[in-house]
Amino acid sequence: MTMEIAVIGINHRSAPVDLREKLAMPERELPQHLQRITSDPDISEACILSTCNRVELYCVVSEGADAYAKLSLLLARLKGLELEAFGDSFYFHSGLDAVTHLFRVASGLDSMVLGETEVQGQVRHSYALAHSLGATGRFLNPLFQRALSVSKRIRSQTAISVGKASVSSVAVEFAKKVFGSLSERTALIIGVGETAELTLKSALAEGVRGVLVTNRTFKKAQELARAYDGEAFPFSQLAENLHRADILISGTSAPHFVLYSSQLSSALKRRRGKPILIIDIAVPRDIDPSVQELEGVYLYNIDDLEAVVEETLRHRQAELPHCEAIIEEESLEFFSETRAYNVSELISTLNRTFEEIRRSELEWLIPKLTSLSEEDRKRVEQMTHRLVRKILHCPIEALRKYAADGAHPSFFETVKRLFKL
Amino acid sequence: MVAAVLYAVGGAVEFAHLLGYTRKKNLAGHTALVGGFFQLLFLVLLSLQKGVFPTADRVGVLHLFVLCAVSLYLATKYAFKGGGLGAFMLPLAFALTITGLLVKEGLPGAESGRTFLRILHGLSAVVGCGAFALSSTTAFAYLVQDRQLRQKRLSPILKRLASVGELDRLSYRAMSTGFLLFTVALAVGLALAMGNPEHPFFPDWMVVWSGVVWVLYALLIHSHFTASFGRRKVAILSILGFAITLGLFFSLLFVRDSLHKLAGG
Repeated sequence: MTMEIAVIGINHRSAPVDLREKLAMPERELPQHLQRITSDPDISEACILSTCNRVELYCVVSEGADAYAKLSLLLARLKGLELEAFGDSFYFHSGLDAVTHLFRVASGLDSMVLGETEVQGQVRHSYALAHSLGATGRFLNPLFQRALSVSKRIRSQTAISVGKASVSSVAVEFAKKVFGSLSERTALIIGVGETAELTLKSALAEGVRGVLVTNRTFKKAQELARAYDGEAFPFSQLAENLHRADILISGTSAPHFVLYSSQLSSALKRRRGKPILIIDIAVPRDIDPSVQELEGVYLYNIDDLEAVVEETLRHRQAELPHCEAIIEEESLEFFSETRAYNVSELISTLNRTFEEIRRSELEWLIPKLTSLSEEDRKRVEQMTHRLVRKILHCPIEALRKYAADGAHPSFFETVKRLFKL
Repeated sequence: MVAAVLYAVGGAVEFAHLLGYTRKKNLAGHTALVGGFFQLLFLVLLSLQKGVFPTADRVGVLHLFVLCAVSLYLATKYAFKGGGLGAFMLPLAFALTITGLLVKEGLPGAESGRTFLRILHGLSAVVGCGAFALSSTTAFAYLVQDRQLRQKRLSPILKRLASVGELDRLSYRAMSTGFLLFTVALAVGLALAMGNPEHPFFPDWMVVWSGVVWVLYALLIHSHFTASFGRRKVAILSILGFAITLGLFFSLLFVRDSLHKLAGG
């Protein structure tokens, strides 16, 4: 029976988050799911990719089976859900399309943020897990290995992952260009908004040492400070504490400015000329824009940061045709290779069948030719061997060529039926 | 000539790297290293020809000055990872090396009367000037990076040039080192002049000019330490300070009417 690679799944484009989270599969559940999938007689290999933006099942299924119906039902039932709940959220690809899809996913071309690199690690991790559980084999092993190498090639030969594509990462990049290393720096958060916290997390990941938090509601400031092992102070004491901050992240919901030039200039004097980076992510803005006239003050508001993100994404978008060309080239090459691999089994079966016919005919003939010497008997055997080889030469070459050209599976099925293989 | 070409190539490569045209970030450093080796070789051969090392001939002094500046740049590049500085330092090294190739040698008298104090005076002055050269090019890089940050774009220059904090620290360290060496040179020069009653050291124009340079750098270091000037002003003034120092350096090499013998012919 001929097998083929298929993928079924949902992602951020095909399904809303509430549907995606219903299907999400934590790592601890994957072994049992993979075991259940591969116990199906029509599925020989499987790998599940479950991230915050997608849940996908890559598998090797019998050709001819209604793979979409089977896999969508299987995926829904894995999580104890009814298929109807997903409507037409599932997408399905098989053969060359499935190969192309995985290559695009691993390269970040199918991600919410074009060109993001995190998904490459997630694909590697999912594959490693499935491989360690013995759920992958001769089809999925080369497929995932190739997907990872294609992803590497795309990132090195194109600029698809160049630049910062989130507000928080852009803010941290500017901070690094003001201070160099952030390891001895202190960040001050004004307000306890989500984006401010995200920016703080990015800064902490780059080594920011101290965290100061202030907020109109002091209790919330204390909670945030506790979460990041920082120090909270009442909002009324902002002016007295300003000089302690190297990086100031402001994200309050105040309808007016919360920091003015005069407050900052006295803080700068206490900082003895050391620069200060201010990230104003509030709308309406928290920081009086005139502070950027002060020497040693670098101010970035949400528009400045988003403009950088947009520019990055524009550049990445321009790289897309180049990436797609690489993916097309690689997936066609991979598909041809696997077809050639697939057809080699067919060729060996063909050879074996003809060899059996030859032997049985010889076994019938030789006892009847009693006058043959040992040498003549060997010549007859040799002749039949050559005959079979010559008869099969052209069909085998044709099979290899059609396989390399990506011929439709029905062609090989016809060959099998013709010779009863 | 080989050193000059290598400095020019290194500077061009570093500039192309800053603009994002090449990813070869270490090529400029390696090129400058080879250029420095050729310049050292030239100095050694020149000294062997004169019979003294280091030669006090103005061609030799000019090459020694460039070599000091390039060596300090390389030390900065490899030890402190001062990214992108070659784009500013190596063109200066190229221009000064070409100047060194164009000038005539001084009189043989410049080599006479060499004592430990004279060598200490000359070396500390030349190495000090090399440090001022590094300080001013780093200050220039600081101004470029500061402008990039204020334009609020993640341009290739912003990404590849060191941070303003690092550039400011490097410039300050180079300036302090240069100032220390220049002070030693002035003190030793003063001692030498006082020991020679035939040549009154004041009001010699070279002494006055040196004093102006010393006071300027003393003020810059003080203002940086006390943060009485902004960092941008300090950067601009350190470039100005180096221009004045360079003027003094070339005057010493070419103007005869001074206590100095380097002016030669």
